[in-house]
Amino acid sequence: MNVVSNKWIGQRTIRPDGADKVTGRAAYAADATMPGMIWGKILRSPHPHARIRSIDTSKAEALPGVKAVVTAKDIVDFPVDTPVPLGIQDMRWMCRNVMAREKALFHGHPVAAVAATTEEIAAEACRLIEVDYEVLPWVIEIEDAIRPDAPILHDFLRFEGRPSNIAGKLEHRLGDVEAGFAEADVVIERSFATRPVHQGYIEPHACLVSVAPDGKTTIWSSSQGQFMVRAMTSLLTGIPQSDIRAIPAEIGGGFGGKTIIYLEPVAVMLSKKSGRPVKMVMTREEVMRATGPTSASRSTVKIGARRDGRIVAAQGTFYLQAGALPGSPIRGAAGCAFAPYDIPNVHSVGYDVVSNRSKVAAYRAPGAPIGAYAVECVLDELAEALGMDPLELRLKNAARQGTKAAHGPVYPRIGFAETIEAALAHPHYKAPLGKRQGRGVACGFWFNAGGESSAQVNVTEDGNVVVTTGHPDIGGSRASIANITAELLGIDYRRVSVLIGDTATIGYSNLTGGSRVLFASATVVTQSVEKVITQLRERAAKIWGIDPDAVKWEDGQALPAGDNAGRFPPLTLKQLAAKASETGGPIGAGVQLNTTGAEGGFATHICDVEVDPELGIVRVVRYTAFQDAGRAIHPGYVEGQMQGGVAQGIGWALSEEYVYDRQGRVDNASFLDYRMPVCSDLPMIDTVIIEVPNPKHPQGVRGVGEVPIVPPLAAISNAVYNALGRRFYSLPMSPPKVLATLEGAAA
Amino acid sequence: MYEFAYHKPSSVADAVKLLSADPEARPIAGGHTLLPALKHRLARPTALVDLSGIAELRGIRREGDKVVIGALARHAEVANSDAVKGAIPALARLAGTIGDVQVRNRGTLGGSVANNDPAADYPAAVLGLGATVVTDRRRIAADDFFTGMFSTALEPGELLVAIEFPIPEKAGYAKMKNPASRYVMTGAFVSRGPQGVRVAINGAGPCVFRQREMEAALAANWSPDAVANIRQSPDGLNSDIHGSAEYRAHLVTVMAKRAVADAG
Amino acid sequence: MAKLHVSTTINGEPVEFLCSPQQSMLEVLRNTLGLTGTKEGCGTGDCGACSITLDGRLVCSCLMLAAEAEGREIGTIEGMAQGDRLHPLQRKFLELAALQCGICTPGVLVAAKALLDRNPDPTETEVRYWLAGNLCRCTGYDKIVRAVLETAAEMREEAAR
Repeated sequence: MNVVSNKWIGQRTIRPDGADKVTGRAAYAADATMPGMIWGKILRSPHPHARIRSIDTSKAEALPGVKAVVTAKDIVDFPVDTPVPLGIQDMRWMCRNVMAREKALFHGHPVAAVAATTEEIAAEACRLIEVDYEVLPWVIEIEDAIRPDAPILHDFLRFEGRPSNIAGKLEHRLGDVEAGFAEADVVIERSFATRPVHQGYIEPHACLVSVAPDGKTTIWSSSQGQFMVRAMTSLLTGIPQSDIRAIPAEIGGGFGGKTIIYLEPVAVMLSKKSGRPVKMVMTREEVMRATGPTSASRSTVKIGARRDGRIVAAQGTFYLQAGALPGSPIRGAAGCAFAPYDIPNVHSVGYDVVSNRSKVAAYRAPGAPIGAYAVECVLDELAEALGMDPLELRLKNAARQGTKAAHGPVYPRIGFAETIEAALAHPHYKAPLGKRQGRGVACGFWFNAGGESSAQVNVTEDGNVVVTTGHPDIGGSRASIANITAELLGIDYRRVSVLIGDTATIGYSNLTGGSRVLFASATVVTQSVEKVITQLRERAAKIWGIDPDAVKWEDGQALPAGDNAGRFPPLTLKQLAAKASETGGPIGAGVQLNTTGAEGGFATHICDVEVDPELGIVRVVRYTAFQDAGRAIHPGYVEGQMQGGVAQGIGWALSEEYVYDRQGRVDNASFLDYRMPVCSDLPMIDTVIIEVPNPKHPQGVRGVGEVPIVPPLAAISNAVYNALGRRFYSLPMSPPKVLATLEGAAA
Repeated sequence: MYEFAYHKPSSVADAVKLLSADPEARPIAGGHTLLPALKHRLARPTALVDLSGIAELRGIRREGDKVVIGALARHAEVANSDAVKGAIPALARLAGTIGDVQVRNRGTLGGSVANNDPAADYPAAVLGLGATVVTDRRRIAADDFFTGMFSTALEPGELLVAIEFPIPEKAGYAKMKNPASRYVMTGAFVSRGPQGVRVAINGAGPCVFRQREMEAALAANWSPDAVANIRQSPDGLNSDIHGSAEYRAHLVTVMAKRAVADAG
Repeated sequence: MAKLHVSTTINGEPVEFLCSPQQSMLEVLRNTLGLTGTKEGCGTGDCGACSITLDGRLVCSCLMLAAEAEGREIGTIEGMAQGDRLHPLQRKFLELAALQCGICTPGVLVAAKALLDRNPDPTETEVRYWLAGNLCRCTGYDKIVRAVLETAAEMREEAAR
């Protein structure tokens, strides 16, 4: 680490975008308007699986006020036999997800779209579009989709030589699991199931698009990556990237669900055809029916240990629902499941299963909570069978520097054991429990990520600083960038403005996701600031007529150093900025990099629950999360990520689930029937930030956002077991399910 | 939403005139059930008759041995009313647990009772206290008012004006909230007073109903234990994504027991 | 169908607008009056992002007909700061990082102010139940609840001075 002082790094500064957000000024995608703007609406499939024989849009087009109609014919086709990967997506699937092509693959799948002078006319026109469907048999659940006689969604998908709904398999192997299990004194094998849950961002997908007569295209939208929006829209519409300017609006939550696009290419084609700017805003029902929740899962995990608690072998099989098109997060499930532990023999397999529900999208540590749920519940049983404290079992087997993980890496310095030790020492772990209360623990891992980032740091003429990066700020990253910039330059953080550039004003930057934003953007911002400091030293040297090497930068000013020390009065940033023109021109620098060295993040959670055994209601009454953040640049937003992830995990464990009706439709496509935790459902969520700096990052940053959602599913399950003496192997632990299990036990 | 006209009469008579003249017109009070239905195009009224300007529908007052609450009383007003808190604290508590703050500031007693959603709170209090529903043309006993799922004895164009709640010696309410919607999964309103012992169960069946076996048991012995072993048959109870009929049947006993404890 | 003419007061200022009978208060605030600080998260009264005050009472503007605003007083997030002086709740939310993406923040702030206007000394439980109609997916509510409690304490101290 080259930052040793701590004037701003680690401080709870006020975020640069804060005042706008508390006064209602912050502009989200749905807040944008343009002169002449019209409204787009999407017609969606009423069937979960149907061949589209024909679409007649003539009546819709004839409706007064309708300006354009779009179908799959207007979207670029990517043939199914040629992969076109783009980030975590494949354009073969994207073009079919944005607008149904050969078939409608889920209830709610877009089939056509209309732009009209009002939202009401657009909706009315959608109802006038006549689609001739050949309704096909459909399948939703994993266990049904992998049966030999299941309806096949895609005849081009083959698994083990046969048409199948299994779209892919991913396997990690380390050592020899058979030999490992042979060495084990205790082996526990259990199967688990989880339901699909939605990211639940409060802001529905929205965009405003303008295609000018010269083809110049501007997109304001809510996404986790303006460059992803530009690239995908370009591929799906045929408009070159240089003609598309994607402007990131403030984003009202994403959690992975906005690393993909739904509306933008459709709005672009509507705008192109109508010659008018087009605005599209999804309803909540559309969000719930047609945007990616995460996968349902079926897992089996087997772990063997010696009597002394040393784990010798582990095996996991994870089936994940992909939705209508391939691409479930099997890498997260199979890869993260055993990653916190030093296990010599591991075999971990993930299967990607398609079925007739909306295509999944990334959701916070995609796949990892599913893997950890199974593993951490089995570890709880293992600890019990061994007569060991569950945290001591984990500590004994904790991955450390030098551990070879089954998914590939050999870990550098990591802070996993520190999180367990902190949990063991925390008063929460020893606090007495009340009646009908139980305590559970679990751990979790997320890969974190580096990747492409760009930054530009400019010194203003009046001696302040503007930093531009290319990542939509989803949870306060601008505040952290301000802290780092102020620290490096030795100036007050309030003199630093941090902005998110659009695709025309900043270099390519990969998605806001994977817990990569601060890791990557801090790297490019740091290097940019270092270049700026070099320029500032050169300018001072020029003014003083000495060698730039004889100038040092300290506390926001240039000082003559070495033999020249004290020869000239210091030059401040303001003074140097004022003389910028005469000393060589504007002062500023940018860096564009494919960053590497993001190292894994680890967490340990303790959860207390209270159960009402008459009703089956489980309530989380105390929760403490311990996490290695590497370095907490802005502790407030690190804690916020931890608390938010835990709250989402609590929802996943206790109340959230997609329910399908007998017609293959989502039966609870509203915030009324799909319940995310509300304020009165939760306790305070305590956090303990552990800082074991990432040796591969200038400030020691590791990713923070994903890990906190990984342990809660198991921590809560284990706590419920501790309270009731009954184990649950499927989520959510809803009141009727808990009650039925209790009554089953009593009977 | 389909198109509709909007009227805002200032008297019950004018409202009834508007509603009678147009059988497809609908009254609107808090709108928290009607507006979502309209947004989903589940209803197509020709006109909405906004009742919020009618002073006669307002007010909460004690009249001798009863509390009279105007149909337009918002849940929050009932929850915070000194008259209600003093005379029928269980009713004030019930009103204070409906939905969330935003709902309680808009939803009305009359709207809830006239809608008769099986998962609504107020019908349990109306039936459980043996209240009388006063309309623009007649008085209807609670036992005759709730006729089925989302249906009541109200005739087309008939307007609910107020509800008279007899003041009980004891009354209590307990409910299990649906973990998703926070509507009532199953609730029980119990009372002992001028109307005898009454146990009204909401949320469990298609329509609020009296649990006579529990009433008899409580008449003999007013204590939670008296109902603890009375099992409700799941036959005819609601089953949905949040809970089966069997689960709701189980809740009937638990909620009745807790309601008696709540009544003291 | 003919438009309705509505005269109302928004954030203390007299306002007139035309609306159709179908339009919600939220639509008129956002699309007709340009007051986009009030957000739409669901349109069915379940998320609280559209919270406003109507004659001082907290309501969801998505479930209020715009026509109902006639003669009433509406308060939105845009009216919460006094000129360039943030309301103590707004300041405290920034100090304590009680927002992340910020989409629920206007509704939460309007709701929290409505609470403190009535109850200057709420308990944690009272804050949690009062804010139960305002969904936040980012924060887990911890910092929001702390910010409301700390603001209340500071405002009480201020008032006692």
